[in-house]
Amino acid sequence: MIIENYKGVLEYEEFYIRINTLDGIININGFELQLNQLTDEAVSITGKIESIDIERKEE
Amino acid sequence: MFIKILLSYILGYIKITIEGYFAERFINICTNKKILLWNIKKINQATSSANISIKDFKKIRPISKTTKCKIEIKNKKGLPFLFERYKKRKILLILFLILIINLLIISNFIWNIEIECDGEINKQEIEDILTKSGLEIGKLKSNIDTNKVIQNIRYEREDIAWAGIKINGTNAIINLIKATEKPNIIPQDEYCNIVSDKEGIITKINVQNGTATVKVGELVKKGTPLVNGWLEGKYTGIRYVHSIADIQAKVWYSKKQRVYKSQEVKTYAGNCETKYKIKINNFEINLFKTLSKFQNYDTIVENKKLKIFSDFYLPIEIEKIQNSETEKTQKTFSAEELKEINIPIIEKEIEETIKNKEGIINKQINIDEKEKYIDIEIIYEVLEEIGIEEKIVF
Repeated sequence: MIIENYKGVLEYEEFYIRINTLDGIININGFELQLNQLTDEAVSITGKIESIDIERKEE
Repeated sequence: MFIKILLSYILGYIKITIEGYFAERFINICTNKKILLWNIKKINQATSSANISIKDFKKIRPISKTTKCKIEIKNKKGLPFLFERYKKRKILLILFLILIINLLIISNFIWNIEIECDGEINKQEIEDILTKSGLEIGKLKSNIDTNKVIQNIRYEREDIAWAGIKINGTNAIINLIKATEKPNIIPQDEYCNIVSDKEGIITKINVQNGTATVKVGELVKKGTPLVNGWLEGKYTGIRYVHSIADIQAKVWYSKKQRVYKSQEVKTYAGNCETKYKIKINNFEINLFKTLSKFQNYDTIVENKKLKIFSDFYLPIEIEKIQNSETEKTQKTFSAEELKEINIPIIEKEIEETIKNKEGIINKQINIDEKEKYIDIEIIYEVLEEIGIEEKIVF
């Protein structure tokens, strides 16, 4: 899974990743999650992803 | 980005562990400063591991201080670290250099000669010519004058129309194209007869110039004159011409073979032994005893030249000798079996000698069965153009 235009990693555990983006916060649940390629414009996440949800920013 | 990671695999990367409760902060600062981290993995609550390139590693010291993370080096990988390890081993380096120099020297010689020809040719004879003109195994490549070698081949062999030499790495490939045999052509303004070159019965004779001496249905032998190269008139006398004629005849091709009913049949017993031999130029080293443990056996010898790359041959040859045990048994065949086996073989042999295959009109198989053997005779009847020109000598 590749997320572009992200702002930063808020939380990182093996089973839970929280990533801040322009649209809101993306929560990823799963097992053995890894941040594979971490650059200034994109982040790729590998592992067994169980669920993804987005907390939209209220405008 | 992917390329950057690949590059750092070559240029060297470090596997680090980050210890501290604010690993996320550390990661965020790293990305903001354009420091590349990859394969970030959480090991436990407080520690996580990541890969980082050598160049960026120097930059993360201040970051770790601000985020209060402890950084430990776990693994160093990549070429710079590898070189570091071998720096002290000078003899290895020297040997490596010697190896490369040797390879360069060896590659200047010819170690293999291949002869390719479109037809059948005696390779030994060609090799003799090659050695005479200076192309030999073990010769310096720069000393070989390919033009001279080609000239020599063409000069010594009349049956070769074209020769080409290609030097590929350490092997020389000689390409030969055989010349088709020239028929003995008599110029149009000279007088000639037409003489039969085969035995047969004339089926058609069509004379354009000259006088025919045979008729349709007549049996001719080899050398019988078919058309005389002169015209006879009552008042003009004898006038010599260059005779031209189309002559078609029925020609027989036959082959007779005697096949015995009881034959010795060789069968493979299944036992097999392989032996190896190393050959350096003409010096042989036997790796096994040369004598075989079997009484009756077939031998297959395979030669293999060692090569490094696709065309870099070394002057070392490995000979593989395979002995497979055979058993001899007497077997008696019935006449039917013998026919079935042998007739197609004989047929094929005859058909190879026939040039004009469309002209085959009849095939006859005669079988003469005796107590111990059978005689098989196969006769082909073929319609063919016959006749060759023969110069009239006064």
